Amino acid sequence: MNPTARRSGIFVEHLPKEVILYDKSSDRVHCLSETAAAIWENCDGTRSEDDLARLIEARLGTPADRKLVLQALEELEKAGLLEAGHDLVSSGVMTSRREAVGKIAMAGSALVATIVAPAPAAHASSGKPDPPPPPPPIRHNPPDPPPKGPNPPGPKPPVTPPGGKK
Amino acid sequence: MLTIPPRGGVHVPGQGLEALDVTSVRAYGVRIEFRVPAPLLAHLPVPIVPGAEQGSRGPADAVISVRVDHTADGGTLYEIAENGTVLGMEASLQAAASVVESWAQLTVATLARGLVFVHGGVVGWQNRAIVMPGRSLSGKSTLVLALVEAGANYYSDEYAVFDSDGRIHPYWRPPKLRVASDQEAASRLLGGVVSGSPPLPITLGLVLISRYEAGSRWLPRQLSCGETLLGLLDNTVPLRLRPEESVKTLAKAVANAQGFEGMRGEAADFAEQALGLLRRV
Repeated sequence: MNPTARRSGIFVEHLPKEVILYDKSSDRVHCLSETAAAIWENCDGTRSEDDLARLIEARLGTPADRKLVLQALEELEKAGLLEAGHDLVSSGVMTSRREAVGKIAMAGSALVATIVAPAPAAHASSGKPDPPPPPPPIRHNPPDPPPKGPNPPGPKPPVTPPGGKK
Repeated sequence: MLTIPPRGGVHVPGQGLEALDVTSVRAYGVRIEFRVPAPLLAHLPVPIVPGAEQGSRGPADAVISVRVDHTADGGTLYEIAENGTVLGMEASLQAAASVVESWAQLTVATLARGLVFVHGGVVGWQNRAIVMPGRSLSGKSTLVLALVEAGANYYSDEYAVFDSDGRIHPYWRPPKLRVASDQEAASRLLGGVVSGSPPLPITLGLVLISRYEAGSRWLPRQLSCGETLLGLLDNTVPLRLRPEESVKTLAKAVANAQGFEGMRGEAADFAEQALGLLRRV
């Protein structure tokens, strides 16, 4: 099955060379490199990995690289940005997902960087650790969606670079 | 301020009901009502939230209340709640006031209309802002003070306030440091500054994402535009409540800015290098 981008509940903001996606269903924010963004935007269920590689070559002027497309698809899938059903193994080149991931891991650095949107309570600064989340505010206008809970515990991960080193 | 008979007030055995004071503030378009024991007010700063008008009228966006409870062994506990949901218990008035202040400021940062609050320190340098996003205890205030000592203008040690054009407004309160000697130094350096008029809004120049590591030298990696935006969004207070407004506002702000990320050592060294970076951007 050809890959299909998941678009429902996703807010898109275009930057000069990257795309920011806010996934309202998971409260995650993704930064897609130029390559990953071009692939995501063209995953319409009709294009194969080879089609996408040729499209990237035409659009970005880089040589058609199926490995790069597979890497991007893997990262997009992990980020929940593809509809269920796409499987790299079905592409016919990879004999197993493990092999696919292994080859992809050698291909380069991340094309999709992701953070979990912090809940407002994560910003409390009473000087005490782990404050409780604030209650839903009293609203006199149509309500905003309430916070879905505090961030998972643990240290904040660094921002991982889409598209490799500068 | 109006002292009223307590509606749902506090029963102190043998003393009848304890009076609550009701006061309110409006800051950045958000109105908060406080229902607290009268003595607690003496422990709150004026204004409770930077830039707030006292005693405003209209429906409240949030109600913060403090209920006094007495323990079996004769102790006193202060139960702090927002909109009826308990936030925590404190054993002293001072500690309860600290929580009230913190939650009032967080509530304004969450609900402010037309503004996006990013948790971070801000200074101005040659009409451009340096924003250092970070949570509590990440060293924001220390970095801000080091930059001010190096010649930058103080804007905030708590929130970068972005308007819809992406410009940054001051969050005009005295810096707060947890170590007493640092707080004294901050008061000497900025005591006269924050009692004056706040500076004008400025555009974003630099976003510096750093973590302290003893002995480290600040050798940052330059971030792409998207990574810089992600670094701000990771510290954006209303992001979950207003994702589209937050992303669009901050995307405008980073359009002509540059971001850097890396480990840092001592604040003074970091400050000198940060100003050097802004000169080159």
